[in-house]
Amino acid sequence: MAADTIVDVKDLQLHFKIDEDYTVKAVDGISLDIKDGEVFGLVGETGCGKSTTARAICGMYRPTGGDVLYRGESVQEKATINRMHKEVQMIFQDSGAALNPKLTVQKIILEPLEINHIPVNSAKTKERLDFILSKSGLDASYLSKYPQELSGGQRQRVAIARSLMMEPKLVVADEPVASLDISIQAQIINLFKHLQKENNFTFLFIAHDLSVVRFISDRVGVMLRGRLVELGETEELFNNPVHPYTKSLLSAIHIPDPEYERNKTFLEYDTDRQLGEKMIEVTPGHFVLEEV
Amino acid sequence: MSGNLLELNNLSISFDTPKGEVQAVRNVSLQLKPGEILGVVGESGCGKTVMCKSVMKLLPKNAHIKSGSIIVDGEDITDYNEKKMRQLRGGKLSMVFQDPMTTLNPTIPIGKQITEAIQKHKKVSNEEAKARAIELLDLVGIRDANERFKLQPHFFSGGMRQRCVIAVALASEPKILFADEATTALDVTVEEKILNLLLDIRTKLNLGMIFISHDLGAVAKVADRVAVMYAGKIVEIGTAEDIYYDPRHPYTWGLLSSLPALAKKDGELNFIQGMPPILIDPPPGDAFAVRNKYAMAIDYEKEPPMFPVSETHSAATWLLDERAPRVVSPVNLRKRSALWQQIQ
Repeated sequence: MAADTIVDVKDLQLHFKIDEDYTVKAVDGISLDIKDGEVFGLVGETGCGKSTTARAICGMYRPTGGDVLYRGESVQEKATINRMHKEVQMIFQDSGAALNPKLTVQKIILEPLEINHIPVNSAKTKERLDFILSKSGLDASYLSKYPQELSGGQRQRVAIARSLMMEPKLVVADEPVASLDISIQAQIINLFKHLQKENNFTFLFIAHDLSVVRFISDRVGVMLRGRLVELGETEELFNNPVHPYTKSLLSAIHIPDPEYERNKTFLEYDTDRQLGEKMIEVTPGHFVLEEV
Repeated sequence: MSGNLLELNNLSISFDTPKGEVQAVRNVSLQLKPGEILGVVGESGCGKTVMCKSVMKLLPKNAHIKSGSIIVDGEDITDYNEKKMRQLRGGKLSMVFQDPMTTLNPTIPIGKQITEAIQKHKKVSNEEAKARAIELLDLVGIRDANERFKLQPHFFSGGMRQRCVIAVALASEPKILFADEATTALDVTVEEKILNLLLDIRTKLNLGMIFISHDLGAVAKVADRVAVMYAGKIVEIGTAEDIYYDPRHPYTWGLLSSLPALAKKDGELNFIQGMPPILIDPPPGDAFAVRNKYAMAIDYEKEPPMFPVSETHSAATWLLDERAPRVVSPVNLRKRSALWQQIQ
């Protein structure tokens, strides 16, 4: 394993057994690595297993096959999990559900410190809190408010501020802008880009909106039915997609350009098609699942 | 008669709430012709849904039409009561909502839900209704309609369910179809197919359609004309080309340039500062003024009228007044309009 790899997903499988003869194969053997300091985008349609993968990377599920290594250690080990509690943070789509309605914004943002037994009243913490607030586009007047008094964009900022309090090494964001209005979405994306550059944390960004992923990610993985079908540098993948599913997905993106939209052709992909077994490297760093 | 299917004339709608009167729609005028798709865009709470529901009269009891009129197919329906509206609703007017699962009844086979809609408006035998329902399912692209006629909604995927909802909406041969965020909950490949279906239906049935969405990409695909709404008002309206290639209102500039699709990869996204106003006591003047970096003193005092830009295009901003200083739109939009003019 290369020294700069922070997360190494090895043939990860997550099968959820519903009853005797029905198993949901949410993730069915994917391998990928996330490098230190990069923004990795994971895209795919509803139910393709992208959220499950993200949660498995954070150690929230026990894989039914394969493994996830965080800095070379399996996330199934207690010691790795303890380390990850300090170094890994998650941001969710629904900020309304992700923030405890009974806590003030201050309590919410400081909670990760409390959990990790870091004194919350020290001058250093206070300084850090002010710093993070201003970075997240909030100010001290928000601290005494409750989540339900805030708008969706403001709540997402609080969630971001909370995730940054621990100076994370890895931030996993699952559809963090999907429920926001366009102009608010733009603000939050800018914020992510800034913070990532300044703090240099590794960022796993999950979204179904491909233009957002293209804008923010260094590398992108495309998922379909629990499998990874294509993986590569963002511009390489968007300009030269190889797998027919990726092509179909890209051809469906809607661009605010009536001329283009009216004349484009949508490449349909039969999602029942059998998927191949192996990933092939077409150009350096660009991997595609072979076709059957 | 003007040949318009739908006309809203200076329509204002208010909600009475314990906190005061919420002016959700303020002085909106628009026209819709047969076979035309009008896209309505804007952020949450700008009044797009309220405007459509007011035509259908599906608003809660505390809402009322404050002023203006609604004319459907030459008929003034502003004061229609519930009994008369029932004839119209699902008759001339039909609506498709965002979430297909809550629109359909989960316990009733979808075929039954369509025949029910047909028989509510037309006296036809069960066999005829069934034949028509299967025809409709075919039209919305559901294969093996004969078999699937008997299935409950949970057997269908999200996209298929939305197709069924569209079939129900078309059952009574409406003249106007409202699609309120009809594709928002769907995956992009499914959305693409549903948008193509809507375009297809429009051509086949010569429907007038109002397509509400916050997704400017989807609107670009289907709309012939586009209305941009802000704080309960239409701030800019024109053909899709007018709005996308030659926008004039700073709010439209803000919306378009905050999209990642139009941004440079290493750059930053533009965004609109601040929040939309609360419509209980809308500020005097232009509601967008406080968020508008081009705002002038008059924006805080007097509401801008609709300034015509061309025959098809008008915008409500003082920037179009002849006394206003010349301002230019953001760079990425300017390049596009230059390119567009070249092609023209």
